[in-house]
Amino acid sequence: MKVTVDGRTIEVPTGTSAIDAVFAAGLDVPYFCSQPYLSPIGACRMCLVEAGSPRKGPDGTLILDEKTGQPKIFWFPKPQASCTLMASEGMVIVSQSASVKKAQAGMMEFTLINHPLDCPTCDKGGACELQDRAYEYGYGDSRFEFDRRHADKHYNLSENVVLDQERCIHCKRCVRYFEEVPGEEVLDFIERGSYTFIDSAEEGLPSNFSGNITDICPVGALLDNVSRFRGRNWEYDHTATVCTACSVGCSITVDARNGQLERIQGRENYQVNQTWLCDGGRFGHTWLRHERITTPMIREGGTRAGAWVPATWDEAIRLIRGKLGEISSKNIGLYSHADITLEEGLALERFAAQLGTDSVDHAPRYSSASTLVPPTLLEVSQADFVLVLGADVHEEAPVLALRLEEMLKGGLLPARYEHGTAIADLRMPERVVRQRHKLVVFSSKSNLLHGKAGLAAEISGASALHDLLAGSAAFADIFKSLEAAQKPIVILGAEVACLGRAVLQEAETLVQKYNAKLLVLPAASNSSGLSHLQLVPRGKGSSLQAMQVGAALVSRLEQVPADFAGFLMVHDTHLTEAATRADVFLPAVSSYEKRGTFINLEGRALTLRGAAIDAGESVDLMGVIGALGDALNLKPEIRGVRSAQREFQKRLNIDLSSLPDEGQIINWSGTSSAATFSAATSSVHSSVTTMWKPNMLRGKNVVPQQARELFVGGDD
Amino acid sequence: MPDTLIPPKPITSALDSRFKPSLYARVGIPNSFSLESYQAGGGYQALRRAFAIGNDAVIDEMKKSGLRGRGGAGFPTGLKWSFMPLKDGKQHYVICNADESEPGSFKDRYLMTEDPHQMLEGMIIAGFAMRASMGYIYIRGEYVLAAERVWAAIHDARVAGLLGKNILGSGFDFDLQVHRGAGAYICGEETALMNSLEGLRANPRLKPPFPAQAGIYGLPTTINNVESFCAATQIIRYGWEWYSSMGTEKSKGNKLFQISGPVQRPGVFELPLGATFREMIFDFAGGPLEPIKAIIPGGSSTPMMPWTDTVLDAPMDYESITAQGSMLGTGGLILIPQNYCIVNATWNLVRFYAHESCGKCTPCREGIGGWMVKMYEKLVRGQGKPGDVELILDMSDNIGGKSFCALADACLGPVLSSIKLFRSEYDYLIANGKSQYGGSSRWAD
Amino acid sequence: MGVMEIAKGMGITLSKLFQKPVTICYPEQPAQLKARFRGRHVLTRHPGTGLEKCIGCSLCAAACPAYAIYVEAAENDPKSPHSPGERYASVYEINMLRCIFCGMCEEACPTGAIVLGNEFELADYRYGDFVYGKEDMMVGTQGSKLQRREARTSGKPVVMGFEVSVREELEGVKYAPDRRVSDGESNRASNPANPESAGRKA
Repeated sequence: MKVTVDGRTIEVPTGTSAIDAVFAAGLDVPYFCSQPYLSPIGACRMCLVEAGSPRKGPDGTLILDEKTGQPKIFWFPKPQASCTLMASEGMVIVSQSASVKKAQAGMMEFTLINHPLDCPTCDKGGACELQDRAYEYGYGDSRFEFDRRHADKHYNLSENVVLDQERCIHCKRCVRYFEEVPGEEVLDFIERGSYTFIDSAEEGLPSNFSGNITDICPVGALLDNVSRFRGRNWEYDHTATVCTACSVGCSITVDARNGQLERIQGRENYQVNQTWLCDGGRFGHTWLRHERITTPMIREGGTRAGAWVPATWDEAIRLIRGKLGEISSKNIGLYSHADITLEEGLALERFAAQLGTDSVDHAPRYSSASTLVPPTLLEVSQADFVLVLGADVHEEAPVLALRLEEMLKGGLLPARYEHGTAIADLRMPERVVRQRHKLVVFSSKSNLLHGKAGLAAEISGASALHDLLAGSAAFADIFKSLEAAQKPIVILGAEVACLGRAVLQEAETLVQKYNAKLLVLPAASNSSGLSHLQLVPRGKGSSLQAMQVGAALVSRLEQVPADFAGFLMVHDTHLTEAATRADVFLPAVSSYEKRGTFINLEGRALTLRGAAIDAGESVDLMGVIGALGDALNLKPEIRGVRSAQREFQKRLNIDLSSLPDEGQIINWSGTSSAATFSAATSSVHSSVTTMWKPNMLRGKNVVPQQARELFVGGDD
Repeated sequence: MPDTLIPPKPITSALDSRFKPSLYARVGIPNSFSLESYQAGGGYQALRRAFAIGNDAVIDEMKKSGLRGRGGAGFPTGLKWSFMPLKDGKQHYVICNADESEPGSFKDRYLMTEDPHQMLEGMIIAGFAMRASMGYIYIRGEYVLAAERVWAAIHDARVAGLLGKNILGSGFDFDLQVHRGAGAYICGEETALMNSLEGLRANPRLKPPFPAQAGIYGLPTTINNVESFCAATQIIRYGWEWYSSMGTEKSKGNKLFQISGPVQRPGVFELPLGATFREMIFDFAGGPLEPIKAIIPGGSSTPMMPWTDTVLDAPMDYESITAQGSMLGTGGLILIPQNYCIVNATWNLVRFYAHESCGKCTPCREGIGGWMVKMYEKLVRGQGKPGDVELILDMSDNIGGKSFCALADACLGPVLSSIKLFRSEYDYLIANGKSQYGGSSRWAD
Repeated sequence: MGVMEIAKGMGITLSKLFQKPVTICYPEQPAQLKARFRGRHVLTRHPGTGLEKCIGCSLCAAACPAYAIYVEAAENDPKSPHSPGERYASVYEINMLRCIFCGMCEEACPTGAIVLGNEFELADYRYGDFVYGKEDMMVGTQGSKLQRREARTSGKPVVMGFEVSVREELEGVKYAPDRRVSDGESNRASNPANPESAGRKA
């Protein structure tokens, strides 16, 4: 339909709100209460525009203006809030007139009368919507001559979120966020009129997704307590990258100052995380700055009993050369964590081939991966029936739980325009009734998803799967739902996936029977990508559990088998338990500092960019392989991101160096890497990341603990 | 029978011998609130007639009667009922808005304490017409006696088979439940009322969707005022012809008018629409006790009108009062005496709205609740300075028509009209630090 | 050019012979500074409570055209606050080698915490010593790092080679009297109108 905004006639789809029509016309309107992924409510009244539309007469034709012969525009008597005004065919919107400017400035004056002027101490300062909008649209002065309202300042809502009630402008974004996105009502307004303030009756914020309110708060009322006072917004070096804490691959902005990681914020990726992050991904980064080791270290006296002494890379390489000279290159094991980039994985694969060693492994991983095409996250949110087997989604892939919540709400996604996601999509109502019958959860331990599901039971996912295949009568309702569903999805968690190929086969049979899609939650963040590389022990190769090798490179893994007595090179950021037994310590960069590609659980390739973090002499896995090659007088085939990406161009016919911002789903089938590995054993029992436990967020040795729980050593 | 009631000329005066009080006809009868008394007076005849003529005919009669919502906005009730998706097979709800909190308005209170069955009957009829099976009565928290009487009436009606399953053997199931408010004016706004009923914070909801599409619990709902339901009872009982014989061309029927302020006999009076202010104030209320300077015609949110012959002779119907620059509202007249400072009187009203603002939208929360009330307090305390009135006018311009619901606009009614009519009083107060009528500290302490 | 012109010119020259010299034998004699001279920064405190005015907002660093300022903020302990409010500067550093003494920091400061003072004798031996921390600039600290070092080793108070009337913004700043010149010798008065005047006329 055609809408005229300040003289520009544009074509917008039906159902567009007036505010989106204005933005689609390339103009600007201030707003605070609207947020693309939340329902519009029209509370702040900032987005005032003048609007009018033609009307039809009794005969069904448009009433014409007598003078011009054009359809007569019937104007609203006063400026309207454009976020709650539906644009209609032929509507005329004026967003830049003097009367609109006056209305907006007047509203800004009201918004500011009770807002404290403590911008210099406020962490939002410099990135504050209210500050920017007041500058652009305000009078620049206030006629208010009375005392401001006073309320609680800097009061901790939870360990991670600090609330300043005085700064609140009552946009209700946080209240709506908790109700609509994680589906946990935690915050609400208390009192009324000008005494209204935000608070929670709970002890802290129970949601695993509480940090998102600090991103969406248009003022400094809700702030990130972890990065509190760590820097001003203009001082941070912002890096747009991807979170690798789990396999969802949320887009994040890493903010560093003076070479230190200080803050992580959500970044919009419509396909993956919308704009939301879990608390683990957002706040769980402080481990990086504590006790990090950024130089190579060798042992005093050359024995394991010796104390660590910092060394140069040359010294470390010299030592490695000396030791590895005595060992056959086939007897060297290469082991890495499964959150490495695709490029690092390729370098590892090629280097293992070059060495001729069969002992290469990554952890955590399952013994095999499904070759079925997984559903995308958008498909999850628009599914009409989801069966979750043996997964604790809030732990294994937290943001996936938000897509499931969206699915329960009916899978309504905000429209997208050229100017971005719809600012106010009027199809999204407040307080949607959840269609709980669309979700069935079976897992041996009760988890947060149990409370959301229409049917949930504490039975093991594997036995549920078995009974489902056997056509057990107890599951008659589920069969009915599966048959009726157009877009059913089965989600398999660690509890089931770690049981090996046979169980996976059962799940594949089940989904094929009902024409469903299968989403196996990966064991680690990049497991999905690494499963297409040959990074599991071959032939007589030694797995990470056994490690029957003369020398081993262990990259960012917490533990090595107790009986391992060979030469141990540990590549890590911190002195982990494995490192205490190492002969050489090589400093590693974290995922926040890497360049490369990451494949998330839906098979989407996402680009990692290195944040400006001071990592000293740390290198990534490719750097360590280079050093190892140096020590062994070998020239590794893959020596950098670019050479790896050239290789992937050959294998996948995809240029990983220029992926779109939203990432790109990789279609492995038909490529030389279509096959996924199949190993004898898996290296994980259950995937419990406990990412948001307070000790994870504030504690020092977060990575070690995470690894300890991920890598349990035993097998099935 | 109704045929004989059709007059040649509509009844627009309560002094007209053809006018017959109906809504308040039973007020004053001993035990008027009991089921026996109600049935003895022909109660629940209308319900039987409704069952006899069928639900579509009820809506049709309501449309023809010309009844306009008596809660203040004056939207045609029959039209509102016809908006309900009658054949969607969903659960429908009927809600009675008995949260009568507007200063100057106290008609529903007596309808509930003195004649609760009249309201119940209207609700059952409405439920029958709109295929609803559940009704809620949202009673203002302060109306303790009214709530008790309505509770008792519902109990009696249930026992008598007038509520519950298969009412009067018609096969129609309907039940009612009373919900008591906790003292918030905003709960009189229909969407805020629904939120409050659902147990949520009483903020107005976004419209569309309108209650008829998605009301309480997201299901089709119709909300009417107590008086509208009572009028429905009367319309179905006596027929639309009788009802529309009263009133003016566009404002048909009778209405309860309330009068408060310095008059001989303040109270509620049942008059046909179109009766004049003079008739109401002098013939029924016995005339003012002291000189009057302004009339608030329909509850505190309607703009003030000057005490002039033109106004006094204006008929009290929706159109005529709008033509005079005000609104009929709930029909709650408030008289403001000559020797009372208008700024103080306005401040009193502004304080009410500031206190009752729900805090959802900025112009109401900050404009009225945070600023306007402070401006008035400053003026009344004699601390005003030149330019303050202009500031109030400019703020009003920034608030007016821009708030989420009508509460902020309701506050501007008295503010703007008092400045327009009595600007000299404002100026005198600012120039001299006190009002020429004294009494400016009546509320200030 | 006539004789008259030469005589006129010489007359001016000769007349100056009998006037007092305007040049100052700095450092033997104190330099005369105008009140608005921009010298080494001073971090002021609130007069009553003694709390630091600086709230660590980093606006000075943002305004600094030479990138000479580095601020790190931290949260006040409500029991023993450094500054009023919730935030204070835990680290406040100015690199005096980079600083161009433009005064933009002073202009940007929302609390009037950083004020350019009058000290200019900032010479030192090592690069690192030019980075002035909070303790080097907090009101009450007198002299450059070098001057204070010398004072410590010699046991004599810090001596500054200038006199000036102190501006109001330099709340609490008092420059110690110069002991090099006796009171009788120095009759150059500070601005007597300014009660804050804390020149050498003590």
